[in-house]
Amino acid sequence: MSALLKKMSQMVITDKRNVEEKAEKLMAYHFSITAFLILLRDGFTYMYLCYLYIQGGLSIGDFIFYFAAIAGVGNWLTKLSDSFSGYIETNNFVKDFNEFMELADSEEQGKAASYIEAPIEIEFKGVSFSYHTMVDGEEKEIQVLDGFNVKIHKGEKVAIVGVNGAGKSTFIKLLCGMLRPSKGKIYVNGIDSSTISRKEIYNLFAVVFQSSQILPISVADNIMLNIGEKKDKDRMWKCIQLAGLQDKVKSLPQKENTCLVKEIAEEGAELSGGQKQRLFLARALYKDAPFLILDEPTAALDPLAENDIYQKYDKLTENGKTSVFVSHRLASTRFCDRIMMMEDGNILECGTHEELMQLGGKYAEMFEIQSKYYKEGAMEE
Amino acid sequence: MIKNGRTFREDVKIVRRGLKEFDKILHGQMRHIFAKGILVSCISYIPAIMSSVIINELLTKQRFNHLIFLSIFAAFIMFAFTIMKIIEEKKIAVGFSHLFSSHEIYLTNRSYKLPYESLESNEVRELREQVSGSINVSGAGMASLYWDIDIVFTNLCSALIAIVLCFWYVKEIVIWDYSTHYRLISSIAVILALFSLIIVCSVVSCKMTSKRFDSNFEVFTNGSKYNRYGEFYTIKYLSNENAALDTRIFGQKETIINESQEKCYSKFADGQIKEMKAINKYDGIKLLCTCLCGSVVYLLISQQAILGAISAGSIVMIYAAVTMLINSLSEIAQIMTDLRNNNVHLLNFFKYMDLEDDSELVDDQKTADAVSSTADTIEFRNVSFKYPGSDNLVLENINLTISKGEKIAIVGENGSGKTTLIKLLCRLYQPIQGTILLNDKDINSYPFSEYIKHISTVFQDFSLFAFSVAENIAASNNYDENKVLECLEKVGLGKKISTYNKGIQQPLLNGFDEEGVDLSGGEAQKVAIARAIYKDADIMILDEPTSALDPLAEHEIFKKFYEITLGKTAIFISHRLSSCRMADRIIVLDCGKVIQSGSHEALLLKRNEKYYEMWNAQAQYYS
Repeated sequence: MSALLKKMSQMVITDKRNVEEKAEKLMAYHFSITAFLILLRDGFTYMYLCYLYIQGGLSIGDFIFYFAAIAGVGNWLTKLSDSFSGYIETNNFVKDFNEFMELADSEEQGKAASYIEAPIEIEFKGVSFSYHTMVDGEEKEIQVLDGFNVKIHKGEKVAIVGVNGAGKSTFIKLLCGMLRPSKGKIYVNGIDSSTISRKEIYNLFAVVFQSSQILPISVADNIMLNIGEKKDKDRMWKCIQLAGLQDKVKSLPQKENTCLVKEIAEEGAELSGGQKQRLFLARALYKDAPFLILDEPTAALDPLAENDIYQKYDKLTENGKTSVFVSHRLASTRFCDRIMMMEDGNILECGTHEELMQLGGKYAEMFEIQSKYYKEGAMEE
Repeated sequence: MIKNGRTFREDVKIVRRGLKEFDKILHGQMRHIFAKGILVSCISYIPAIMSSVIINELLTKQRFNHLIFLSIFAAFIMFAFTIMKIIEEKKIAVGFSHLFSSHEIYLTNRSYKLPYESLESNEVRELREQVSGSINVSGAGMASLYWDIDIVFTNLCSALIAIVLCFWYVKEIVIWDYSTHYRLISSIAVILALFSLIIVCSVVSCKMTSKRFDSNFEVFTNGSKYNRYGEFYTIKYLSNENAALDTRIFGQKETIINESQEKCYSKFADGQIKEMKAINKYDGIKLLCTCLCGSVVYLLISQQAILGAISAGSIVMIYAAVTMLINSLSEIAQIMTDLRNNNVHLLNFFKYMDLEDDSELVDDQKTADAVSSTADTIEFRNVSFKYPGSDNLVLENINLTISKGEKIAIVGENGSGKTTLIKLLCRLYQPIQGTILLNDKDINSYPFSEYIKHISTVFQDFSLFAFSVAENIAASNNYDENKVLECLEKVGLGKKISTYNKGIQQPLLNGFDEEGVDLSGGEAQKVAIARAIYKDADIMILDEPTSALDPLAEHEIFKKFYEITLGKTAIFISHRLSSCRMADRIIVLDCGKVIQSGSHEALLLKRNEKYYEMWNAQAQYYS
C-alpha cells in the first residue's frame, strides 16, 4: 500500500505546485511591469531635474529635495494600489465568511418551550427524508425514509433491527432532532417538534452514538461536560459503575481526574475500544435525559461485557425512561418491549420477539440465521 | 556568547548541518537566496550612489550628454537589478510554498524506514509531531532557517558594501591636501568620531534588537504542543460529522470553546502580544539610535564639506552608507538570536533523522533468504511481550503451533492480548522474549518484504483511501479487473458496486472528490475484507472482520469463509463467538496467557472454564 500512497501523494503535490508556480508567475509579471514604470519615472525625473539645474532654475539642495520627493510619492502610490488589490483579494474571503455566518441558525428556531415533561412519547407521522448527492455530475435526490409512521410510547423500550443501509441511523438522527424531515411531522408528547426549539429537543435525549470521540480532558469532564452546571460526583461514580468502567477509572493515576487521549494531552491515558464505549454509556447515563438512545453500544465489547450491559438494561432505563436500542446482535431485542424491523426506509415488521418469531417473516429469518451458530450440534453446510 | 546552553560555535555547526539537510529537502534552493541577497543589497545602494555621482557632475563639469547618460544608466541599472530580483523572489516564494510539503514528505520517507514499534512509541510520535509542528505552526525549523539565512545574507552583503563605500569616501578626506594642522587634526578627529559612532550605535541597537525573539521564545518552542489542542478541536474533532451529534446532544460547545482557548489560542495570542510589545520598544530605541547617529554623521560630514575636503555628492553617499551599516548590523544581531533560538527545532529535526533504522528493512538487501514458495507452519515459542515503557506483560510465555491450512479462532475478553499476538506475527512488534518461527525458522531471518507477502490482514481500524474501489482493493494502480470483481463478489459487494456507473472505478470518500461516495461502516468493512482476499496470501488474519456487519451480511461472509480461506491458514479474532464454529481450533486468551485450546465441541464440555462461560453469555439469548 505504501507504494501507492507515495505515488498518489506525489501526484497531488505536483498538481499543487503547478498551480502555485502559475500564481507566482503572474505575480512576477505584475512586479516586472511595476519595475518598468519605475524605470520610466526615475529616468525622466533625473533628466528633467538635471535640465532644470543646468538652466539655473534649481539649486543643488532643491535638486536633491525634488528627487527624493518624487521617489517618495511614487512609492506611496505603489503601496496604495497594492493595498487596494489586497483589499479586493480579502473581500473574496470575507464573502465566504459572511455567507457562512448567514446560514440559518437552527437552534434559535421555534419557541423555547419548557412544558415538555418526562416521560415522553414520540410519534412520526408520514415522515420522509431525502438528501441530494452528485452522481456522475448530476444532482440526484436519494430518498432514505418515505412516509414513515411510528409511535414510541411513554417508557417503552424499542429495539430497532435491520440490514446495513435500512435507514436506522437516519431514523435516529430524525428522532433526536439532528435532522429535520423533508415531509411529514414529528410529535413530541403531542407537540409538533418543528415548533420546539432545538436546544429543548436536544435536552430530551441522551445518546450513545456508534462513532463518538473522546475529548482530551479529564474522565470526569468527559462524562459531566457542562461546565456551568453543578457537577455531581456521586452521580458520576454511579454512572461509571453502571457502565462497568469503575475498575479502569480507579486504576488510572489520578482516578477520574486523569486526562484522556494520549496524542493530545501529555501524560493522558489511553482507553481501548470497549472502554471508550463504556465511557460514552456513562456519559449518556449521567445526562439523565428522559429518552435514551443506544446505537450499537456493544459492538466492541467482549461477550461477558456485552452480557453485563444486557443484564443491566432495566437499570439503565429506570425511572420510566423511553429508550431505543439499535443493534445487529439480535440478543439485545429480548429486553425490549417492542421490536421494529426496518428495511429500505420503512418498518417491515413490528412486535415483540415472540410475535415476530411466530409471524415467520424477515426478523425470524435473521434471528434464525444468527442463532443457528449458537445452537448445539453440528451445523449444516 | 553562550545562549540556550550552547556556544556560538556549536550554534554555527548546527546551522551548517541544517543547511545541508535543507539542501536535501529542496535541492539548490539556497542558491536563489544568495543571489537575491546580493541583488537586494545592491539595489538599496543604487539610488544613493547614482545621486551622488550625478550631483558631483552637476556641481563640477555639467556635461549635458554625460548627465543624460548617467540618468538613463541609473534608471536602467535599477530596472535590470529589480527584474532579476523579481525572478529570484518568485523562485524563492515557490520554493517556500514547496518547503512545507517537501518537508513533510522528507519526514514521511524517513518514517517508512523506522521500525513499527518506534512509530507507535510515544516518544517518537511526539518527536515527529514536534518536528512537523515546528514548521507548520510556528514557521520554525527549516522554514525559519530559510528566512533567517535570507535576511542574514542580505544584510551581510549590505554591510559589506557599506563598509567599502565608507572607506572609498573616507579616502577622499585622507588624500586631501593638509596644508594646515587644523585641517589635519579635524580630519583625523572626524574619521575617528565616525568609526566610534558606528561602533557605539551598532552595539546599542544590536543589544536592543537581539532581545526581540527572546520575548516569544516560550511560544516559539512549545507552539506545536499548544497547537495540538487547537488542531484536535478544529480539524480532527469538529470537522467530523459524528462530533456534530455529540456537541449538540451533550452540550459540548462551551467545553470546546473554553478548552481550545485556554490550551491553545490564548497562549499564541499572549505570545504575540509579548512579541509586539518587544518590537515596539526595541524598534523605537533602534530608530532613536539611527536618528541620533544620522544627525551626528551629517554634522561631521558637512563640516568636512565646508572645509572642502569632500564634495556634496559624497555627503549623500556617506550618510547613506553609515545608516545602512548600522541598520544591517542590528538586523543581523536580531536574526542571529532567532537563528540560535531556532536551533532547538533543528536539533529535534536531527534527532528524528538520527533515529535508528528498522534493522529488518536494512536486512532486506543482506540476506536473500526467501520464504520457500509457501508458508507452512507457524510456531510461537515462549513468546512474551510488553510495550516499551510499561511494566505489564501483555503476552506471557505463549506457546502455539499453527499448521498449514488450519483455521484458528482467538477469543478472550477486551484487553487479553489478542490483537498484540497478531501484530507480533506481522512483525509489527518484536517479542521481548522467545521466538516466532515460520517453516521452522525465526521469522526475523526472512527479509521483511518477502515475509509480509505471505500475510494478508483485515485490522479493526483499517482505513480506506480516496482512490477508486479497485485501487483500494488492489492497493495499486495496476489491477486485475476480473480479480477485483471476483473479490467484491466474495464479500457480497458485487451488486452494490455494479449500481455505480463507473463500476469499480468509482472513487471513494466524498470529502475529497465531489463524485466520491462514502460507504457505510459495514460496506467499508467488506471492502477491507476484499482487499485481504485480493492479496491472496498464504496466511490470512482477520481481526473483528464482521463487527459492523448486519446478521445477514455476517452470515454471507461466514458462509463463504471456507471458499475465501481455501488452502490458506486463517487466524481470526471475534467477539461474536458464533464464528468459532468455523474454526478447527479455538485459542482462549486471558490476561496474556493461553488458558484453553481445542475445538468448539471439546471446549464446551469444560463447564467451569472461560470458553463455556463466554459462549453461554451469548448463546443463552438464542436458545
